[in-house]
Order: sequence, then structure tokens, then C-alpha cells
Amino acid sequence: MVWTIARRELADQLTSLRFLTVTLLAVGLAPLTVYVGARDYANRLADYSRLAADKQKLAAASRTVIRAGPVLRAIRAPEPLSVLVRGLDGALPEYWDFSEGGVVEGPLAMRPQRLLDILGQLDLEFLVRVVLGLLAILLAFDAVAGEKELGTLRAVLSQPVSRPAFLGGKLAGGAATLLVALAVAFLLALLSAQLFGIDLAGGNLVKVALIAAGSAAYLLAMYAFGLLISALSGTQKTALVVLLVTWVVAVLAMPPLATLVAQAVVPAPPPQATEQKKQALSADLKRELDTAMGVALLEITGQPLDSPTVRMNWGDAKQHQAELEARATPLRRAYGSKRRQFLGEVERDADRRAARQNRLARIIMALSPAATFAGAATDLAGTGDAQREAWLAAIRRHQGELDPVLFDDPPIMTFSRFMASGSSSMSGNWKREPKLSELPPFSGPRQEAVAAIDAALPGLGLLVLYAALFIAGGFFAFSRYDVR
Amino acid sequence: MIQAMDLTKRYEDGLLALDTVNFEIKPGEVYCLLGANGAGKTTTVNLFLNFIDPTSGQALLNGIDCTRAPLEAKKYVSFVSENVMLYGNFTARQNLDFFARLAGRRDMSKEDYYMVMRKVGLPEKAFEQRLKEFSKGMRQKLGIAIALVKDAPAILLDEPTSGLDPKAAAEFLQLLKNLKAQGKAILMSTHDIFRTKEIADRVGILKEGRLVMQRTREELLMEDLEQLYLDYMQAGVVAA
Amino acid sequence: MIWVVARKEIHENLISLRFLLLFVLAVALIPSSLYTEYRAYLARVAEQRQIEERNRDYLRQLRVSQIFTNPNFAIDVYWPPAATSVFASGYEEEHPRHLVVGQHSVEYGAPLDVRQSAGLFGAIDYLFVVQLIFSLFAVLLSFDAITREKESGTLRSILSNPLSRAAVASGKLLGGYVTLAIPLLLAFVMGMAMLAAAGLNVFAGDFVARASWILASSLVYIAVFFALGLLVSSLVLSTYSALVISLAFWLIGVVVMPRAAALVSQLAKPVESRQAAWLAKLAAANSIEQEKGRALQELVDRVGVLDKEGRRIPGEGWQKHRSAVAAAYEERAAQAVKRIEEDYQRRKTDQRLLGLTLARVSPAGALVNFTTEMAETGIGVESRFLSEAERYREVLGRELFSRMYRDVWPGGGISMGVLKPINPAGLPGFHMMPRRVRESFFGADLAILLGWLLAGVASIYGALGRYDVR
Repeated sequence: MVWTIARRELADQLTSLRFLTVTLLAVGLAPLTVYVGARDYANRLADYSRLAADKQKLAAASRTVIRAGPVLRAIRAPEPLSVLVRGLDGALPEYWDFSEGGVVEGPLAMRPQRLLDILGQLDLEFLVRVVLGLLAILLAFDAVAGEKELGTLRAVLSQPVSRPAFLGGKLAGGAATLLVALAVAFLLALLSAQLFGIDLAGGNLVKVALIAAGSAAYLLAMYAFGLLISALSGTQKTALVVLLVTWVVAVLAMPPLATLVAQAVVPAPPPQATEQKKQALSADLKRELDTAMGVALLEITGQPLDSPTVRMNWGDAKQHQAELEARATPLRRAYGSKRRQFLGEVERDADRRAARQNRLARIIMALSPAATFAGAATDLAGTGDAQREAWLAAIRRHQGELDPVLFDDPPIMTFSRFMASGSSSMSGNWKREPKLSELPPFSGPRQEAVAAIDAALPGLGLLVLYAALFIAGGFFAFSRYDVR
Repeated sequence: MIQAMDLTKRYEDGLLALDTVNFEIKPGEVYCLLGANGAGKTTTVNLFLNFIDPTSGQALLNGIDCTRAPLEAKKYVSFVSENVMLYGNFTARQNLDFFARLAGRRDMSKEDYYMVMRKVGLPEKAFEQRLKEFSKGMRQKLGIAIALVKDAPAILLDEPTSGLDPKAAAEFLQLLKNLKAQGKAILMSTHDIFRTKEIADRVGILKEGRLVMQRTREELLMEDLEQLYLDYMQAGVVAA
Repeated sequence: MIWVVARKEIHENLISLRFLLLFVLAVALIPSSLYTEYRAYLARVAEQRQIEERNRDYLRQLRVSQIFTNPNFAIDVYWPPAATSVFASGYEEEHPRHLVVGQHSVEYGAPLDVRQSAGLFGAIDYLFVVQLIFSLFAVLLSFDAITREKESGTLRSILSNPLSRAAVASGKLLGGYVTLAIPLLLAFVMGMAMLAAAGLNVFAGDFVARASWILASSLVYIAVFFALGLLVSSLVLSTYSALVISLAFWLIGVVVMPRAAALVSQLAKPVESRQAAWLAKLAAANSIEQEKGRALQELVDRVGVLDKEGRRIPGEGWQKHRSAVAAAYEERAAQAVKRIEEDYQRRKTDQRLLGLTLARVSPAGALVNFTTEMAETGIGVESRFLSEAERYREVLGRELFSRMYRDVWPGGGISMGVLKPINPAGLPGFHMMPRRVRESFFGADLAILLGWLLAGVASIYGALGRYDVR
């Protein structure tokens, strides 16, 4: 019985105007979005290769000063799956530099253009979330209410068909229709990716399969929601209006609204301000140290401190090295620990507030299956929040590894003395500069499928939960539906 | 008042819907146009309302050509459609008010509307009820009320009694008789033979676009209309 | 007659469910987004002020030696956000408010407030609400305006009365649009009130003028989509088909067309990334610097004095000799860099202009361009900022960079110093005059919107006139 209804439903939907129109749209958009993504990816890959080659060249040169940025740089390669699900891949920096004042972000990989990407990037995820999501709504709104208005509902239920069987048939038929559209979109996207030179093999293919599964869960949830509303409405017009408004809110408005609300409730300082603060703090501390060392040198060489002219030269420093070391050690230790403490405080405070804001935004977004889907898809593709946080954690960790070796106790010592008439300073290698091979290497976040699945699992689970919830609701609502 | 002169309509796909139809309806006359589905009844109504243009011939209302001066002609006719749907979210009075204004009557007060609705037999509680809650019979009555308010000399009705229960249909016919008594010229297309016999002053049978028979009330009293109808449907003979 | 139909239309819409929902959404979204954007704007202004203060302090206490020993010395310039940015903020990274003015070029600085989780979805500002949500609602109010009357037969009832089809069309257009515009107007006024209550002086400067223009363009924009839905409704027989077709057109017009425009411009006029251009500049400057070093070495060999170990080193009057030789190379380097930059900028601008022009053909594109420019957060302001920064770079060139020197010797040494006295605290500051309303007004976009509207309305009259009412 369910099968009969489902089969009729499927046949009806597959030939309907709405299915054909939307599928046509998807057919047109899928290759287009993949093409755009592939080009972006190629450009970013070229940039990445250039940066990596640059870094390699610097590392090979013998006279490189390690502490000057590019050799220590952590360069981020673009994600191949960003061709399908752009996510944050363009919004993260191309590289990070490590310095005395903490981490310095490089330029963003891509500058977004508001005029052209109103709803965020036009990618496969968008296609599923917005366009196919709309199809789900259009298929569902008159599933119950429409048949009631036509009178066919009474005709069917006057046969020995139970209500759950009827709704089950509708559900199966609609779900099958959506799966057809989804399959078409995905196949075209994958073919296009292959055509434009993106190799999606192995672990990536697993991720794509999971994204497809997530899409199916999302569309099922949307369709089930549509059925639920249709089974709660007396007329299909009411169902349509309610569903379209819900679609607008949940798919279009809710995600950025969540960000807005989170920012209003938990404001966090902009990264540039934090960076600036850290750099300023670090420079202050450095100046303190340098001045103290300058004073030490003057005292040791017997020069008066308030003299208008002082003489600082490396020969003197070498001559009195032992005394200077004795004075320097506690100063440098203090510098190192203060630096770690102050910078750490600033960082931790900023991180905490950013994390709270993030959490709040994500909670609000969990209210919308569309936002949940977007989160899960981007996490699976390696272009989502989880990935960004993994990168930031890896970056922080690396800075922490470099600090004791390079920055807490810098190999270059500066003696300086600032006077009314100007300043006098000199700096040179106080101790041996560590070789590049002695520094801990940078390890980026894990790339394998397992990591991606881990990150996306809660989202996927939530989607399935939504689907189950709406399906249950639909059955319940329909059991009490006024068929007259 | 309502006159068809050699009215002919051939559609783009070649279908000859009306073939030189001639009739004239005088004030105070009820003319019933009988015919099977697709015989051309609705086409006739559409021609008078300028929803379509005739291929040849004329449709005249109060002497005005409906094709050449449609806006002028429409001043003289009220139209009651087969299924009076109107605006479901509006009340009966609001619907009445809208169509009254379209007809050019801006002078009516709430009480005036109530009076008209009473006249057509609508219950008091229905006056401010939304139309989506009306039964078919009530809706048809409201359709008449709209025609009453416009007070035009000609009235066109398209299958007005289809789907009505006997009581509602009887009430409807009574209203039509009142209108006829007021001197309105009434053209009613229908395939309800029973009611036709009750109310028609003259009857015309349309078959495949042709007016194959016309009879007056007196002539009908002597013949059996049903039999006539069936005979002519089968024979397909053109008679004067 | 038109007014009778319009009045019925307004009445019918006002009691409908979708109007209620639209109203609630408008009143919820517009004032709240304006308010939140305003708070964000205040935070941005405060942060930027702090950052600039810190920079000024830093410059003030900067030693000259710290300048010429830093090959990448650059000055950060900032452009303060305008209050009208509450209407259309978009991504902050999109319009650089922070540029880094160096010796050779002006580069984008770090963004001032990257919204933390905004990566996935954009901001929901007034422009977003109008562009996306109001246009959708315009379509939702109009798609069945005529088909429902066709299906229920009321269209025939109306047309059995003495009024022309044009009158019916006019009544529907007028009545429907009024119901669509009311929530927008109300929400807008409420938003203004909220801003004023939050402390913004709405009557200061040209805020009111700009806000008015933004409102005007929004009103025309939603009219365009209303006309679109009404047109589909008058061409199509069933409400259901009208819905699907209208939604498809909406999706294409609002989302797909602008993107397609970008794609076409990228295909037609490809440009390499900024990073590649920067590397090219660096390479050119470096190679000329090497040449300069070699030439200076030759100079030292010729005119230098012998030191204790018998090597040639620069002696008295070195500066004079050096200037003569070095100037030529430095000039060449500057020219080479300038040429690369100009070429890059020109191609970038060409591509952008093409993309922009194509995107503005669609109503959404025209609206976004008009609104962002009027709100001082658009592309026009960005180019202005860039060109002002470029001018500042030339000023700095005169006051700062041309007064220092930096020579790279073939052996690998670097000598640097000051040619003329430099006073870091006395460097001229960066100032940019805000644009006048006239300069922010892009009449072409309004004309495009009005053109769409006119085409739509004319088509409606045509479609309804030819409609077969049976």
C-alpha cells in the first residue's frame, strides 16, 4: 500500500513543473559553481606554491636571519574540496608569521565581494541548502493540504489505506524525488570537478560521500517539515506561506542573524586590536630589557649614565662579557617570563571572548537545519569552523614551541640608551642563533577523513534528529487531520 | 435588450463554437439557453461580456455593440457566474460593497446592503460572515444580490442552479421571477430542463453552435420539452 | 474605478496571513539589524581611534635609525567608517579601512574587525534584508495576485463591469505595492527612531539625505520584484505554475545573475593575484638594487680611500659621489615598481569594472551598488581611499623615503643612513575628505532599477490586455 502511494507520488513529482524547473536550475548551476571553485582553487594553489618556494629558497640561503619572518612562516595550502564547499577556505589567511610580539596573520586568501556573493559563495553546498531546500518545500506544501482541497485525500482514505500508510507513501515518494535531484546535482558536480582538473580520490571521495549523505538527511528533514506543516494547515495556501516564510528565515536569515546576535551579546575585540596590543606590549618589554642592558654596559665600562654622549661598541661588550652575562641573566629571564605572561593574558582573554561568541552563534544556528547542514558540510570538506579552529590551535602551539627557543631569550642582544640628544644603540649576536633544522617544525592540522568526520558528526547527528522529529510530528499531525 | 445578430465564433484551432445565432430578449423576458456541455452556451455569454471577440455578427446589449463599445455595454448588464466564488476572506457585505462600487454605486450604506441581502434571502448572521464559510446556495444568492445592487436592465446567468439542492434552487428561481417582474431581460444558460420549464418565457436549444430550436412558453405547454430536447439532440435537424 | 480595485487589493492583502508574517519580519529585522550594526559601528570607531592613537604615539617616539634600518618601513593609514555604514556593512575585508603605505607600494593592511564566525555567512544588514527578504516577499505577494482571480472566477466578475483591463492592472499594481511598501516604510522609520534613541545624531551632516536615497532605491527595487511577480501572474494560468516560475526568476535575478557577471569578467579579463604582483615588484626592485650595489662598488673602487688593510672604503665626500650614481638606479627601481603596480591596477580595475557593469544589469546588483556607494561602503570609496593613499605615498616619498638611503653591496653588506634630516614626529598625517552626497549618488543604478520597473509594468498591461478571460 505504501509502495503504491509512493510510486504514484514519485511519478507525479518527477513530471511536475516544480521538479523540472528546479532540477534544470541545479543542472545549470552545478557545473558553473564547480568551475568557479576550480578557478579560485587553482589561483590559490599557485599563490601557495609561490610562497612555499620562496620560503624554501630563504631556508636554503646560508645567511638567512631566522627570526625575520618568512623562514618561520606557516603556509596554508588550499583545500581541494573547497571546490565543492567553499566555506572559510578563502577567509583564512594564506600564512601566519611568528614574531616576538606573537603571531602575525598574513593576508587573506581571497577578498570576498559583497556585490557578487550575496548569500555567501555560490557552491554545491549552496545549491543543496538553498535551491534543493526550496524544492523540498515546494514538493511538500500541498502534499496533504492540496490533496484535501482537490478531494483526492478523501478518495484515497475511503480505500482500506491507513493514515500512517498514506503519509508514509508521501514521505517515501517525496524523499525519492529529492534524492533524484540530489544525485543529479552531485554527479554533475563531481564530473565537472574531474573535468576541471581537480582530483578527488581516496579520503576526499569518502568525505564527498558523507557530504552527500548529509545533504540527503537535510533534504529529508526539510521535506518532512513541509509535510508536517501541510498536515497542520487547512489550505495549501496557508501551508505555502508558512513554509516559504520559514524557508526564508531558516535558510536565508537565521545564519547571519545568529552571528549578529552573538556579536551583540558577546562582543569580542577585533584580531587587529589584539595583535596590536601584543606587539606593543612586546616592544615595551623589549625596550625595557634593552635599556637595562644599555645601563649595565655603561656602568660596567665606567661611563656616567646621564652623560650627553655615550659610547657603545661591541668590543667593550666582548671584553666584559662575563660581567654582562651575570647582569643579563636575571634580566633576560624576567623578560622571558613577563613576555609569556602578558602576551598570554591578552591572547587568552581575546580567545575566551571569541570562543564564547562562537559558541553562542553556533547554538543559535543549531536551531536551523540549514545552518546545521552548512556547518556539517564545511566541516566535512575541511573548510569549516572546526578546521579554522584547528589551524589556530596549531599556530598557537607552534608559537609556544618557538617562544623558548627564539623569542623568550633572543639570540640578538641590544644595548641601548636613549638620551635627550638621540639614542645610541648597538645590537649583535649575543649567543648562537639556532639553525633552522634545530627548530621544531610546524605541523598543521590533521587532514584525513577521520578528523573531518569527527568534526562533522554532531552536525550530521542533529540533522538526522531533525528529520526524525519532523517525521514523527508529521505522522502525529496527520492522524488528527480533518479530512473533510 | 439582449440581442444576438448572426453571432458567429470560430476559434483559432478551427472549432466553430457558434454558427449564426440569432435571438432577441425583451425586457421582462426570461430566455433559457439549453444545450449539452460544449454546445456554445458559455461562448455566448463570453461574447456578450467581451471576453472574446466574435468572428462575425454582433452581440448587442441595450442596442450597444459589446465588441465595439464594451465598457459602455457593460453598464447595462449584470453577470452571475456558475460558481460564485468571490473573495473568501471578505465578508458578504464587503464583497457586495466592492462589486457595488465597481458597478458605479457609491451611495449605499451598510443598511442598504443588509436590505439587499435580506431580499435575496440570506440569513442575518451571514451578513458579516466570511465568504469561505458560505454554502453554494448562499453564494448564489449573494451573486443575485450583487446583480440587484447594480440594477442593470439585462442579467446574464451561467448555469446558476447546477449543484444547488431543490430548496435552494427554488428560492433562486423565485428571485429570478421577482427580477423578471421588475422588467429585467434575463438570459440564462443551463442544462437544467426542470427549472427551465418553470421559469422560461422562451427556450433555445444550442447544438454544436447552432440554435436548432426556439419555442415560447405557450408552445412548450403543449409539447414535452424533455422529449423535444432528446429528439433534437439525436436528429440534428435544423428547425425554425 | 482604479481606486476601487486598489482599495480591495489593499484590504485583501492587509487581512492575509502572508502580510502579517511579512510585517512581523520587517519590523523585527530592519530596526534590529540597524541597531546592531550601529553598535558594531561604534565599536569599530572606538577601536580604530585607539589603534590610530597608538600608532601616533609610536611614530612620535620613533628614532630615525629605526626607520632607515627597516627595509619594510611603512605607515598605517586608516579611513574611519561612516555612520551610514549601518545600512550596508557587508564584510569588513571587502573595503579596506586599513592600508599600509610603504616606499614602493600601498598594500592592504590587516582587517580591522574580522567577524569571528561570520566566515560562513555574511552580515545581515538592512541591505541584506531588502535585497533578499523583501524582494522575495514582493514576489510572494504578487505571484498569485491575478491567477487566484482567474482561478476563482472573480476576474470575470470584475470584468463584467464597465472598467478596462488597464484599470484592473493599475488597481492591482497600486494596491499591491502599497501593501508591500507599508512594512518597509514603517520598519525604516522605526529603525531611524531606534538609532536616534541609541545615540546617533540622525540629523547631523548628510545622514538624512543619504538615508532617504537609500530608502528610495529600496522602494523602487521591491517594486521591480512586485511587478515581476504580477507579470508572471498575468501570463500564467495556474497559481502553482506562477509560484514556481516566479521563484525561479527571483533566484536567478537575486543570486545567480551577479555571480554569473563576476564569472564572465574573470574569464574575459583574468588578472593574477595581488601576491603575484607584489612578488614581481619585489623581484624587480631587488634586481635593480643588486645592480646599484655593483655600481656603487665600482665607484668605491675608483674614488674610495685606502684603509689600514689596504681595502677601498668610502671616504670623504662619499655622499656626493654616491648620490650621483645611486639616484639613477633608485629612480629606475621606483619606475619599474610603479609600472608593475599601475599595470596590475589597470587590469584589476578593468576586470572589476566589467564584472560590476554586468552585475549591475540585474536589479539586485544595481541596488547593492547604489546602496553601498550611498552608504560610503562601496567600491567607489575603496578606490578613493586607495588613490588618496597613493598620493600620501608620494608625499612620504618626498618627506621621508627620499631622505634615506639603503645600499646593498655585492658582498652582502648593507649600508643605510640618512641623506637629509628626518623628523618622524613631524611627518605629515593622512587625511581623507569624506565624499559629498552628490559624489556618492550613482544615478545609473537608479535608472537601471526604474528601467526594469517600467519594462515590467508595461509588460503587465500588455499581458493582461491580451489575456483570454475564458
